[in-house]
Amino acid sequence: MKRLFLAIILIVLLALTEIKGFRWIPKQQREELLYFPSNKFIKATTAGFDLLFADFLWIETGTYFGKHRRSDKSYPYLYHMLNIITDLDPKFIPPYTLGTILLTTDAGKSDLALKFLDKGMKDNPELWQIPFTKGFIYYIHNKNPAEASKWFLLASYKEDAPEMVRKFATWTLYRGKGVEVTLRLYLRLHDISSSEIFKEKAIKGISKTLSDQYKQFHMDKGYYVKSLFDLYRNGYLPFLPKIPGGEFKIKDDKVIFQQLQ
Amino acid sequence: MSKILTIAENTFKEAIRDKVLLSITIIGFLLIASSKIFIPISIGQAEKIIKDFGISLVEIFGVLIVVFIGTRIFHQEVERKTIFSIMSKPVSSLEFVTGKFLGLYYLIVVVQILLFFIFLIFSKFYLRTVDIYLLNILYFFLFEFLLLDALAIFLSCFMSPLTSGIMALLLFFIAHLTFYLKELTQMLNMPTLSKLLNFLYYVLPNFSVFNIKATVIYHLPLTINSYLLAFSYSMLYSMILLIFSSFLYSKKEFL
Amino acid sequence: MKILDIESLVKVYRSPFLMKKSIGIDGLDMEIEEGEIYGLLGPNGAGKTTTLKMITGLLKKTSGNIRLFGELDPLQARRRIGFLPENPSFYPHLTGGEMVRFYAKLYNINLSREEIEKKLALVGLEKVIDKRIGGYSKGMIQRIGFIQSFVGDPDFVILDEPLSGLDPLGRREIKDLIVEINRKGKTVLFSSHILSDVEAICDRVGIIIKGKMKQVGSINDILKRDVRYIEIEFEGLKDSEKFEKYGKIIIEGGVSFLRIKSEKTRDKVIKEIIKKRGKIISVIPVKSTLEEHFMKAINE
Repeated sequence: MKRLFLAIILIVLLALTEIKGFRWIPKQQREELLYFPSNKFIKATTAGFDLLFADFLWIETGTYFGKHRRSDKSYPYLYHMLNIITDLDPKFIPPYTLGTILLTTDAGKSDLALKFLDKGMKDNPELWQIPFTKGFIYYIHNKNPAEASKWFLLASYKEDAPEMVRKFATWTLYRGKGVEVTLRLYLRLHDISSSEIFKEKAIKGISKTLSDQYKQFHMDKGYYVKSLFDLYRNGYLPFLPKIPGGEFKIKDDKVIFQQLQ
Repeated sequence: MSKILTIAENTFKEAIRDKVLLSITIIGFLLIASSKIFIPISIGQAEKIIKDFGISLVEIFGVLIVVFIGTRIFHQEVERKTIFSIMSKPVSSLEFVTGKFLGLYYLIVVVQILLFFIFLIFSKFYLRTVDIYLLNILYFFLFEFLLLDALAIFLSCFMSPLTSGIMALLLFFIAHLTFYLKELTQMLNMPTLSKLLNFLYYVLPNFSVFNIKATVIYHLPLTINSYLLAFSYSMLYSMILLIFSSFLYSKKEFL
Repeated sequence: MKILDIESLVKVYRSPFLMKKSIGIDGLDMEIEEGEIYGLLGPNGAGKTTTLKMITGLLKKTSGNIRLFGELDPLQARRRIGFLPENPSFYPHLTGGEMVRFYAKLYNINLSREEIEKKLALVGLEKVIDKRIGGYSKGMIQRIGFIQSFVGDPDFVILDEPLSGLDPLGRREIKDLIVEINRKGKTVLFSSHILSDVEAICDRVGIIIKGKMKQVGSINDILKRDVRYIEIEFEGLKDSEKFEKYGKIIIEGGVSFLRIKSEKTRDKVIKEIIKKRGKIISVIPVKSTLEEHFMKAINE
């Protein structure tokens, strides 16, 4: 009898805890779950190991990308994989900051990438990196400095945004600052991931920009400079980009990155 | 109370000698040590992946202990006939059940803490960093396993070890998606089914209160509310299960 | 005072799926007085262990009453009871000392190492106090089992086949211990197949057959009901073969041994021998052994 009485009291307390206590989970979280119904199905299958599944899928995405990069250069499932990863782990940023780069430059799906970044901003409104990435894509790939400027500006308002982001917001609107913005964006791309894929992209991007300036100088002045320092001295480069482990050199009418021995 | 602690101590001493436990711990150690393989394939996310992997393993191995050892806890006493010498003593079924529960819980706590510190040591070794904030999840695991332990004890009062092990595993799985039952009731347009789902949502265990992996990995703030909710939910639910278990156990006969 | 009072106890086993039932105990009555040693005898399957387990609460009764120490709550009653199950089994990971301490704690008793050693010395196990139970022989387990049955200083000790697995020396020791704890005021109930042991130490015996108590009483009372014959040994008569009319007679070297059935005939024969100036050496009523009596009771 005593046991039954105690059990009843405990059941009532438990019910109260459930009814009242679960309200302590932030409202935003609950609403967000309602907005993305597919989240729930995926999350429901992982028994609380969402982050781990997201990690394994991230590794799988890298493998998938690498395999197709070496073969048919076609990535039909890339977006889907990135989407599931972020469904499972909304706070996992690399799919947004790195995955969208690959989606844009390799899969050729910049529209999907931009839409995907919108989802990232909804899940992580406090982060500057996601709108920044949007600005990157608009500037480098879509060649739309006005749109890029908007997103750089939005990114600059976020807490912890570096000063450079605010500068990009204004520089993108000035043609004269275009080279500086491009170089700095690629340098940032080089630094945000230890993965060779992104470092290669960054080096390629910088090399192309330097090559373009090298050719532009020739078009303007009628002769070729002997070194990048000459380009800098003549105002065609705002600074000389440096990447550890090598240096940019002029060779055979273009700029290449030479690894140091 | 001293009888409960006596039975708990004995249960712990017995279980810690279990070869299955040794295997589980060794495998856990080896898997945590092997997390180095993620470094070259993580596309720059080694730190996060190793942390996710490590804390997930600590949780998984806790579940394995409950499933493989916890569900045999009564059956072993009956099989070995040691139950006769215990239940003929002035020990009530509630004292016996609680003692077994606590003994198993000590075991889970010891193994969890051991595996967690092994994980921290390897993370220091591989990542050159120890993220102290992760320690918060250990508390939540301990609340989670209090409830899972009570579930296993409850199931083994009326099921065989194999069936109760499978059920415990299934319930662990279901307990992580009961949260969605509530969402389902709002999405469905069938009032009777919604009522049933709503009922199940409140009755079935809900482990989402213990799942703070994203919070600790991303260093999001933890409120005292989260701790209180996890603790009180775990304690209340476990105590209810123990009372039901003791009731079931008091009806048992030992041939 | 009655330590144990069982009335119309019934135990029915039901198979849940086949709806079959089998009767384990079929209306058993039993009483044990304070301070006695009571032996419960019966063939295999008679219901001895079932009865003992119902007394200790390990099995639930179907109907009837079991009163221990008057009207006590079962859990309270278990504070004053000690029990040794048949073929006992204990935790193999514990040492002898740890085991005794463990069971004592279940009575809320804390024993020091010296106290444990003293208890183990009663059954000659003090030297293996630190040896794991897993390494004990059957006999050692039986003996340490006996210790755990009275480690809580119970008033009533219940032993199911306490002497099984023991060599003659071990049986002697345990029997002496049972007598000693009884002398200290403890009531003892034990079941056994070893009838000579029961005969040696029990005050009363109950014979249980097919779940029912067939006979209860002191050994003498039970066997008095079962006198096989009276043997009269006499000498000094030349025509002693004439006594053949009363019963079987064996004559050896001048001494005659006459077996007669009834006490009436005995008196008549004695008168006649005296009248004929014969010499009566002895008059001995020969009873069944408990074993013969027991076998007779089973076959009835």
